[in-house]
Amino acid sequence: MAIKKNRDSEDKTLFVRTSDDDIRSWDKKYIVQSLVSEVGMPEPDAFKVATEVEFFIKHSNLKFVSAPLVREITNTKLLEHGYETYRKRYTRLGLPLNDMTDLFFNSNKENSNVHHSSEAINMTISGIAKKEYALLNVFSDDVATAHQNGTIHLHDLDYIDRPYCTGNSIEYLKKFGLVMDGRGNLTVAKPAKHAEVLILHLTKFAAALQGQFAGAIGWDAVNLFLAPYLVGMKEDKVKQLAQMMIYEFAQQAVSRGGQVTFTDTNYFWEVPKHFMDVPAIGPGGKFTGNNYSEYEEEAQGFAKAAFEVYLKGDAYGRPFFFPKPDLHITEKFFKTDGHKEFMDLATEVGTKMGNTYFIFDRGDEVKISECCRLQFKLNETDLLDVKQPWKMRYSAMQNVTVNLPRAAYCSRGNEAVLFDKISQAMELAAKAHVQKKQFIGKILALGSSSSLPILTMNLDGEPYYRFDRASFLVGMLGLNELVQYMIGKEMHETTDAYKYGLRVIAFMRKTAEELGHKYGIHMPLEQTPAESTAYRMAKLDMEHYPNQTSKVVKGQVGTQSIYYTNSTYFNTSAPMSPIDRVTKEGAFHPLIDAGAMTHVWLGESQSDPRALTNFVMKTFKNTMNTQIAFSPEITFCKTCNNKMRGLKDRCDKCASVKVEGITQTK
Amino acid sequence: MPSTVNELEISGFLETSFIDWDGLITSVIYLPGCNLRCPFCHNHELIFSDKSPKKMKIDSQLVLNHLSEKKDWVDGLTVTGGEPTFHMGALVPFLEEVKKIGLKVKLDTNGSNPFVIQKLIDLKLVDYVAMDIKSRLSDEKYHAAVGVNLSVDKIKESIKIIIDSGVDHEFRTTVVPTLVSSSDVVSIAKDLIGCKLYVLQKFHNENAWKEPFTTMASYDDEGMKVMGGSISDVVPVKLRLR
Repeated sequence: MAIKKNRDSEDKTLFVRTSDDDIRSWDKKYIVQSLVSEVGMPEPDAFKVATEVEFFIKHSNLKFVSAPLVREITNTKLLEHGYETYRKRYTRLGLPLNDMTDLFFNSNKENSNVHHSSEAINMTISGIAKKEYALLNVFSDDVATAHQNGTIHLHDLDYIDRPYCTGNSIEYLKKFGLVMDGRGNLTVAKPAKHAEVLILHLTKFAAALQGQFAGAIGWDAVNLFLAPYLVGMKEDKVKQLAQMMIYEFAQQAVSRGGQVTFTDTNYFWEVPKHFMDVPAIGPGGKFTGNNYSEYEEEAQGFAKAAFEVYLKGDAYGRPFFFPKPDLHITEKFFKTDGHKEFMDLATEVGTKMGNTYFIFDRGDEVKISECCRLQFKLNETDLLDVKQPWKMRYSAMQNVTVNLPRAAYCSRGNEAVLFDKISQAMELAAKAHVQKKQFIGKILALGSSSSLPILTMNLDGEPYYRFDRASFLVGMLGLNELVQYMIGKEMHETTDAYKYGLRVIAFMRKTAEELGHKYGIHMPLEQTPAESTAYRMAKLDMEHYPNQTSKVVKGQVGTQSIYYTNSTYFNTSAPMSPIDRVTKEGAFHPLIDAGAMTHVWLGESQSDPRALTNFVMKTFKNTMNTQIAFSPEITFCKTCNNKMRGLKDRCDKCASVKVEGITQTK
Repeated sequence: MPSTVNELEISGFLETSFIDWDGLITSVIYLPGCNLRCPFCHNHELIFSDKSPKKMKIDSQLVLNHLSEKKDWVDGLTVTGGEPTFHMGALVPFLEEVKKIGLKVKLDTNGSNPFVIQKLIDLKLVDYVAMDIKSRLSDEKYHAAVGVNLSVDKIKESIKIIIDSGVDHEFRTTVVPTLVSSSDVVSIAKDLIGCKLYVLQKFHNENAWKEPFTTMASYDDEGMKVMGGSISDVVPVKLRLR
């Protein structure tokens, strides 16, 4: 009976639901073909495997099988025969049915910037597949393993097919107009003749760029480059334009899974020295005949208007999270009329809303800011671009973070071994960078038919993305815990501990330079911005090195709420005065070329903006700190729109418990 | 024998403050003990110097060392309490050291000790005086606000000393509902004619000392603005709503 039953089932016609939305009758030749073409398996071996798959399926009494199921069974057979390499290359990427159901019916709780939406689901699904692809097919096994076991963290694997972040100049749009898709297939706009149109070009192009970069889209000297369009304009009109720009950036939740574009806008009160003699581009993309030194008044008018908009907040008085305003302070700032009043406005925005980032460009330093803290320090070649500012397009292609406490645990307290472990991790980071560079290089080599057509767009004699000029970042996490493990004190506790931390970062900087030479890439250090990495690495270490980790990890040991202190920060809850914090943390900043910052927590009390101006100016003069921002705590009532200082459980006006606490993490 | 710097009893030290002196970065010392018993006091841990949970004494020399180290940052020192004027003996040599470092000094006082205020001004040891006016200057109203019998003549005397001194100053009233009404504010303002600044501070019930003030709602911002407006042609007025 049993044999007959089997024979009956063999007699049935078996159908396969293919990945192309087609239903075909069963034919094992498709398995053979795919094994030969996808993984290069010799045909006789492929035939043998396909026959076994067929036997298994036909004896499973199925009427329909899906292509993914056939592939899973084939992979099992490959494993049974010891074909591990073929199996790896034959892998199907994606996610289980149950996970998809969860995505539809449970909102994404992982990223506070992502609001649950159909677009967010698309982002999650594509992210899973791309991340798996990256770990299987872009990076070598040693690099992928180091990421998976938490020795290093490869950021933005879910956007493996895009570079990391970018700094840009409005001058490109002013000179060449707007080619949204980079190919010219969509409607193309000539250079803007009016300020409104230029702002729309800017916000649209930023959104398009966000589709081709994983992280932040920065814009240099926004107020200065807008200035030639503002000549003769009345103050209220300028204010209207500033408002329009900020709202356009803040509300267009269209990028990356329905998020707003992660935008940084850089402001200068003074016309910085490096732009003084640069010919200005005005309406219609034409040179105005004046240099930018002539546009100080208009640039200041826009900067003032923009910060007034930030101070007012949105319709409910809540802060705008994007675009972030980065205020650069150069030596010239202090010699420019009105700087004190403008700084008071910027610090008032800082203390009431938390928006302002103060960036210190001391001496002849020229920097452009990207995201949380990333800054591109312009080198001599870059500075040649300044004369033709539409050329100012910079990028970091990838960011890799080194887990410093892990290196400490593995060293068992031996300093020589510690430095060796850090070197090894950094070498893996360098290899990861070279591998990503090769992958992105292959995509870009497809030119205008590539999946990054804006980056390959060529309107000025070279592609928009200048591949060979890209940087590759190395971040660090948990320096404080490394020090604590090695010498038993946290960095704020003793001078020895603090100096130990400085030595580690100095070593990392030197090693990054050496590895950069060895691998032919520019590899500066950057403070790691991603808080999720601080949790991920702490949890992995708690799993693999529980005894060591529990001695130094922050948060609530024994729960899921554990983390390492970010980058080179001091313990955030250490009883340090703001002065000590900006001074001591600032001592690390000159070693971290691609960006570092100090977070000054203001908490509940609303500081006097003029006292903060005083503090910002002294930070410039008395420290080596390169960037600071203030973090106030604010609560909004969703019932009556009341705004309160501090994080509250209920509204102090209407007693509603529908309140939203905001404290920005930087 | 005169007191020395080391005898100054300091109960609290805040290294950096951005809220105590407009435009300046200050350090703050808290001196224990107060002769008043304001039921809404938010620093009530300092009222009883001997029972204070903050009884630990901070070494005044360490404070001076710190101020000296941070003189490129800190513009001034705020002396508050409690009521600092009851520490005159040790406060004078301490402030002399602070002035030697080159820092400005702000004195917070409840104004009940006019002699000491006069003395500190004469010795040029203070650059700014911030004096509380707890309520309308009548014995009855003041008694309710400060919880003890206090002759308002002392308060009036201090007001005169401060206004006549030429030293920068502010008078300030925490507008506590039930203790200070809008007509009280107008009355106080009239007693302060000639002052450089009168500040109306919004009351916050967090950390207030006694019932019912621990749960009492404050005047809202609009109400505060109306009160400020009602006296703006009498004295220079400023609202502190934070």
